[in-house]
Amino acid sequence: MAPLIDAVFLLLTYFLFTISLATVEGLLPSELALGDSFDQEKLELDEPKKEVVVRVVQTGARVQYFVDDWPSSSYEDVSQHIGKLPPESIVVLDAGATVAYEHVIRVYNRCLQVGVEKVVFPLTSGSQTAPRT
Amino acid sequence: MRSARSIRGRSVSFKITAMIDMTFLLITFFIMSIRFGQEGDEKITLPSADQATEVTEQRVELITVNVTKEGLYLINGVEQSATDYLRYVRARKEEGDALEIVVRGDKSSEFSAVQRVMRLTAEAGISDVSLAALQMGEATGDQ
Repeated sequence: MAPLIDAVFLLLTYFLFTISLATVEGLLPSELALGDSFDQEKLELDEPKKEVVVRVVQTGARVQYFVDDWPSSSYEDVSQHIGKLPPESIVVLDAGATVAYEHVIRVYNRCLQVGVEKVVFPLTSGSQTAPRT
Repeated sequence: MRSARSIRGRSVSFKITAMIDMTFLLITFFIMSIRFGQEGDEKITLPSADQATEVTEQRVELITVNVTKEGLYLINGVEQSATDYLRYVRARKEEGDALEIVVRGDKSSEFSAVQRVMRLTAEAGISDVSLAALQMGEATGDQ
Protein backbone atom coordinates (compact mmCIF):
# COMPACT_ATOMS: atom_id res chain seq x y z
CA MET A 1 0.00 0.00 0.00
CA ALA A 2 2.78 2.43 0.90
CA PRO A 3 4.30 2.62 -2.62
CA LEU A 4 0.85 3.32 -4.04
CA ILE A 5 0.35 6.21 -1.66
CA ASP A 6 3.83 7.45 -2.53
CA ALA A 7 2.93 7.46 -6.19
CA VAL A 8 -0.38 9.22 -5.57
CA PHE A 9 1.36 11.94 -3.58
CA LEU A 10 3.96 12.27 -6.28
CA LEU A 11 1.25 12.79 -8.90
CA LEU A 12 -0.61 15.22 -6.66
CA THR A 13 2.54 17.28 -6.13
CA TYR A 14 3.24 17.22 -9.86
CA PHE A 15 -0.25 18.52 -10.67
CA LEU A 16 -0.04 21.21 -8.03
CA PHE A 17 3.21 22.51 -9.48
CA THR A 18 2.21 22.40 -13.11
CA ILE A 19 -1.43 23.47 -13.11
CA SER A 20 -0.80 27.19 -12.61
CA LEU A 21 1.88 27.22 -15.27
CA ALA A 22 -0.33 25.76 -17.96
CA THR A 23 -1.71 28.78 -19.80
CA VAL A 24 -3.66 28.32 -22.98
CA GLU A 25 -2.16 29.81 -26.06
CA GLY A 26 -4.41 31.75 -28.40
CA LEU A 27 -4.22 33.70 -31.61
CA LEU A 28 -4.90 37.30 -32.56
CA PRO A 29 -5.99 37.25 -36.20
CA SER A 30 -4.67 39.84 -38.59
CA GLU A 31 -5.07 40.38 -42.30
CA LEU A 32 -2.30 41.74 -44.45
CA ALA A 33 -2.84 44.05 -47.39
CA LEU A 34 -1.35 42.35 -50.40
CA GLY A 35 0.47 44.86 -52.60
CA ASP A 36 -1.71 46.92 -54.95
CA SER A 37 -4.77 44.80 -54.40
CA PHE A 38 -5.59 46.85 -51.31
CA ASP A 39 -9.09 48.11 -51.79
CA GLN A 40 -8.67 51.78 -52.61
CA GLU A 41 -12.37 52.27 -53.38
CA LYS A 42 -13.34 50.94 -50.01
CA LEU A 43 -11.19 53.55 -48.33
CA GLU A 44 -12.67 56.37 -50.39
CA LEU A 45 -16.14 55.37 -49.29
CA ASP A 46 -15.23 56.12 -45.73
CA GLU A 47 -16.01 59.81 -45.92
CA PRO A 48 -15.74 60.67 -42.25
CA LYS A 49 -12.24 59.91 -41.11
CA LYS A 50 -12.30 56.72 -39.15
CA GLU A 51 -8.60 56.02 -39.29
CA VAL A 52 -6.60 56.53 -36.13
CA VAL A 53 -2.84 56.19 -36.17
CA VAL A 54 -1.37 54.88 -32.95
CA ARG A 55 2.37 55.16 -33.00
CA VAL A 56 4.58 53.34 -30.52
CA VAL A 57 8.13 54.66 -30.29
CA GLN A 58 11.08 53.47 -28.24
CA THR A 59 13.14 56.36 -26.91
CA GLY A 60 15.98 55.04 -24.81
CA ALA A 61 14.48 52.87 -22.11
CA ARG A 62 11.04 54.46 -22.45
CA VAL A 63 8.16 53.56 -24.69
CA GLN A 64 6.21 56.55 -25.98
CA TYR A 65 2.79 56.52 -27.54
CA PHE A 66 1.33 58.94 -30.07
CA VAL A 67 -2.29 59.04 -31.17
CA ASP A 68 -2.64 60.75 -34.54
CA ASP A 69 0.82 62.23 -33.94
CA TRP A 70 -0.17 63.77 -30.61
CA PRO A 71 1.85 62.47 -27.68
CA SER A 72 0.14 60.47 -24.95
CA SER A 73 1.54 60.55 -21.47
CA SER A 74 1.26 56.80 -20.88
CA TYR A 75 -0.25 53.57 -22.10
CA GLU A 76 -3.29 54.20 -19.88
CA ASP A 77 -3.88 57.43 -21.78
CA VAL A 78 -3.79 55.61 -25.12
CA SER A 79 -5.97 52.88 -23.68
CA GLN A 80 -8.60 55.48 -22.73
CA HIS A 81 -8.41 57.04 -26.17
CA ILE A 82 -8.90 53.67 -27.86
CA GLY A 83 -11.79 53.00 -25.49
CA LYS A 84 -13.66 55.96 -26.99
CA LEU A 85 -13.29 54.81 -30.59
CA PRO A 86 -16.34 53.51 -32.42
CA PRO A 87 -16.04 49.81 -33.39
CA GLU A 88 -15.93 50.62 -37.12
CA SER A 89 -12.69 52.59 -36.69
CA ILE A 90 -9.50 51.56 -38.39
CA VAL A 91 -6.47 51.65 -36.14
CA VAL A 92 -3.11 51.91 -37.88
CA LEU A 93 -0.66 50.49 -35.41
CA ASP A 94 2.68 51.94 -36.39
CA ALA A 95 5.37 50.64 -34.08
CA GLY A 96 9.04 51.53 -34.22
CA ALA A 97 11.54 48.86 -35.18
CA THR A 98 13.09 48.59 -31.72
CA VAL A 99 9.86 48.54 -29.72
CA ALA A 100 9.40 45.34 -27.72
CA TYR A 101 6.74 43.15 -29.30
CA GLU A 102 4.67 42.95 -26.10
CA HIS A 103 3.88 46.68 -26.25
CA VAL A 104 2.48 46.28 -29.75
CA ILE A 105 0.39 43.27 -28.74
CA ARG A 106 -0.94 45.19 -25.76
CA VAL A 107 -2.28 48.01 -27.95
CA TYR A 108 -3.67 45.47 -30.41
CA ASN A 109 -5.37 43.59 -27.59
CA ARG A 110 -6.86 46.83 -26.27
CA CYS A 111 -8.35 47.55 -29.71
CA LEU A 112 -9.97 44.12 -29.77
CA GLN A 113 -11.28 44.62 -26.24
CA VAL A 114 -13.29 47.65 -27.32
CA GLY A 115 -14.53 45.95 -30.47
CA VAL A 116 -12.19 47.64 -32.97
CA GLU A 117 -11.24 44.72 -35.18
CA LYS A 118 -9.66 46.59 -38.06
CA VAL A 119 -6.10 46.95 -36.89
CA VAL A 120 -3.55 47.54 -39.62
CA PHE A 121 0.20 47.10 -39.28
CA PRO A 122 2.20 49.21 -41.75
CA LEU A 123 4.68 46.83 -43.30
CA THR A 124 7.41 49.38 -43.78
CA SER A 125 9.43 50.00 -40.65
CA GLY A 126 8.35 53.16 -38.83
CA SER A 127 6.97 56.28 -40.41
CA GLN A 128 9.46 58.74 -41.72
CA THR A 129 7.65 61.79 -40.45
CA ALA A 130 8.51 62.88 -36.94
CA PRO A 131 5.59 62.94 -34.53
CA ARG A 132 4.59 66.19 -32.90
CA THR A 133 6.03 66.83 -29.50
CA MET B 1 23.25 -14.28 7.68
CA ARG B 2 20.54 -16.17 5.86
CA SER B 3 21.49 -18.96 3.59
CA ALA B 4 20.50 -19.01 -0.06
CA ARG B 5 18.38 -22.06 0.63
CA SER B 6 16.12 -20.29 3.16
CA ILE B 7 15.47 -17.41 0.74
CA ARG B 8 14.59 -19.78 -2.07
CA GLY B 9 12.14 -21.49 0.20
CA ARG B 10 9.94 -18.38 0.78
CA SER B 11 7.11 -17.61 -1.59
CA VAL B 12 7.41 -14.14 -3.08
CA SER B 13 4.24 -12.64 -4.45
CA PHE B 14 4.32 -9.65 -6.76
CA LYS B 15 1.25 -7.39 -6.61
CA ILE B 16 1.02 -6.61 -10.26
CA THR B 17 -2.55 -5.25 -10.30
CA ALA B 18 -1.67 -2.02 -8.50
CA MET B 19 1.35 -1.52 -10.70
CA ILE B 20 -0.68 -1.96 -13.86
CA ASP B 21 -3.27 0.47 -12.51
CA MET B 22 -0.61 3.07 -11.93
CA THR B 23 1.01 2.45 -15.27
CA PHE B 24 -2.27 2.95 -17.07
CA LEU B 25 -2.97 6.06 -15.06
CA LEU B 26 0.39 7.51 -16.02
CA ILE B 27 -0.03 6.56 -19.65
CA THR B 28 -3.49 8.18 -19.73
CA PHE B 29 -2.09 11.29 -18.08
CA PHE B 30 0.74 11.62 -20.58
CA ILE B 31 -1.59 11.08 -23.51
CA MET B 32 -4.03 13.69 -22.23
CA SER B 33 -1.42 16.27 -21.38
CA ILE B 34 0.75 15.96 -24.45
CA ARG B 35 1.20 19.26 -26.24
CA PHE B 36 1.39 19.11 -29.96
CA GLY B 37 3.81 21.96 -30.04
CA GLN B 38 6.91 22.27 -32.08
CA GLU B 39 10.51 22.20 -31.16
CA GLY B 40 11.78 25.60 -30.23
CA ASP B 41 8.56 26.60 -28.47
CA GLU B 42 10.23 26.65 -25.10
CA LYS B 43 12.60 29.40 -26.20
CA ILE B 44 9.70 31.77 -26.74
CA THR B 45 7.97 33.72 -23.99
CA LEU B 46 4.73 34.86 -25.54
CA PRO B 47 3.10 38.19 -24.69
CA SER B 48 -0.28 38.16 -22.95
CA ALA B 49 -3.57 39.09 -24.55
CA ASP B 50 -6.97 38.23 -23.13
CA GLN B 51 -8.59 38.64 -26.55
CA ALA B 52 -6.57 35.83 -28.10
CA THR B 53 -8.86 33.15 -29.47
CA GLU B 54 -8.21 29.46 -29.27
CA VAL B 55 -6.90 27.57 -32.24
CA THR B 56 -9.80 25.64 -33.74
CA GLU B 57 -9.59 22.46 -35.74
CA GLN B 58 -11.25 23.79 -38.87
CA ARG B 59 -8.51 26.26 -39.55
CA VAL B 60 -6.52 25.99 -42.72
CA GLU B 61 -3.00 24.70 -42.68
CA LEU B 62 -0.88 26.62 -40.22
CA ILE B 63 2.78 27.42 -40.57
CA THR B 64 4.25 28.49 -37.27
CA VAL B 65 7.15 30.90 -37.24
CA ASN B 66 8.86 31.38 -33.90
CA VAL B 67 10.63 34.70 -33.47
CA THR B 68 13.17 34.53 -30.67
CA LYS B 69 14.28 37.32 -28.37
CA GLU B 70 17.37 37.74 -30.53
CA GLY B 71 15.26 38.10 -33.67
CA LEU B 72 15.99 34.65 -35.10
CA TYR B 73 13.34 32.74 -37.01
CA LEU B 74 12.62 29.12 -36.10
CA ILE B 75 10.39 26.97 -38.26
CA ASN B 76 9.86 23.39 -37.08
CA GLY B 77 12.71 23.93 -34.64
CA VAL B 78 15.16 24.84 -37.38
CA GLU B 79 16.66 28.29 -37.64
CA GLN B 80 15.86 29.97 -40.94
CA SER B 81 16.99 33.15 -42.56
CA ALA B 82 14.44 35.62 -43.93
CA THR B 83 15.14 34.53 -47.51
CA ASP B 84 14.79 30.85 -46.58
CA TYR B 85 11.46 31.64 -44.97
CA LEU B 86 10.22 33.45 -48.07
CA ARG B 87 11.34 30.57 -50.29
CA TYR B 88 9.69 28.01 -48.01
CA VAL B 89 6.36 29.88 -47.83
CA ARG B 90 6.31 30.49 -51.59
CA ALA B 91 6.97 26.81 -52.23
CA ARG B 92 4.14 25.82 -49.91
CA LYS B 93 1.81 28.31 -51.55
CA GLU B 94 2.63 26.92 -54.99
CA GLU B 95 1.54 23.51 -53.76
CA GLY B 96 -1.91 25.03 -53.61
CA ASP B 97 -2.45 24.87 -49.87
CA ALA B 98 -4.62 27.49 -48.18
CA LEU B 99 -2.07 28.72 -45.70
CA GLU B 100 -2.16 30.76 -42.57
CA ILE B 101 0.95 31.97 -40.83
CA VAL B 102 1.13 31.97 -37.04
CA VAL B 103 3.80 34.27 -35.69
CA ARG B 104 4.94 33.27 -32.21
CA GLY B 105 7.01 36.24 -31.24
CA ASP B 106 8.91 36.52 -27.98
CA LYS B 107 7.50 39.36 -25.95
CA SER B 108 10.95 40.96 -25.66
CA SER B 109 11.80 40.66 -29.34
CA GLU B 110 12.00 43.81 -31.41
CA PHE B 111 8.87 44.49 -33.40
CA SER B 112 10.92 44.85 -36.60
CA ALA B 113 11.60 41.08 -36.51
CA VAL B 114 7.87 40.31 -36.44
CA GLN B 115 7.17 43.04 -38.97
CA ARG B 116 9.64 41.46 -41.35
CA VAL B 117 7.82 38.13 -41.15
CA MET B 118 4.59 39.98 -41.99
CA ARG B 119 6.20 41.74 -44.92
CA LEU B 120 7.68 38.53 -46.32
CA THR B 121 4.34 36.78 -45.87
CA ALA B 122 2.59 39.52 -47.84
CA GLU B 123 5.30 39.23 -50.50
CA ALA B 124 4.55 35.53 -50.77
CA GLY B 125 0.91 36.42 -51.40
CA ILE B 126 -0.53 35.24 -48.10
CA SER B 127 -2.80 37.62 -46.23
CA ASP B 128 -3.79 35.52 -43.22
CA VAL B 129 -1.44 36.07 -40.34
CA SER B 130 -2.17 35.38 -36.69
CA LEU B 131 -0.15 36.57 -33.77
CA ALA B 132 0.17 34.08 -30.92
CA ALA B 133 -0.33 35.21 -27.34
CA LEU B 134 -1.15 33.69 -23.99
CA GLN B 135 -4.80 33.96 -23.02
CA MET B 136 -4.17 35.98 -19.91
CA GLY B 137 -4.93 39.48 -18.69
CA GLU B 138 -3.15 42.43 -20.20
CA ALA B 139 0.60 42.54 -19.92
CA THR B 140 2.01 44.91 -17.37
CA GLY B 141 5.34 46.62 -17.10
CA ASP B 142 4.83 49.89 -18.91
CA GLN B 143 7.74 52.25 -18.64
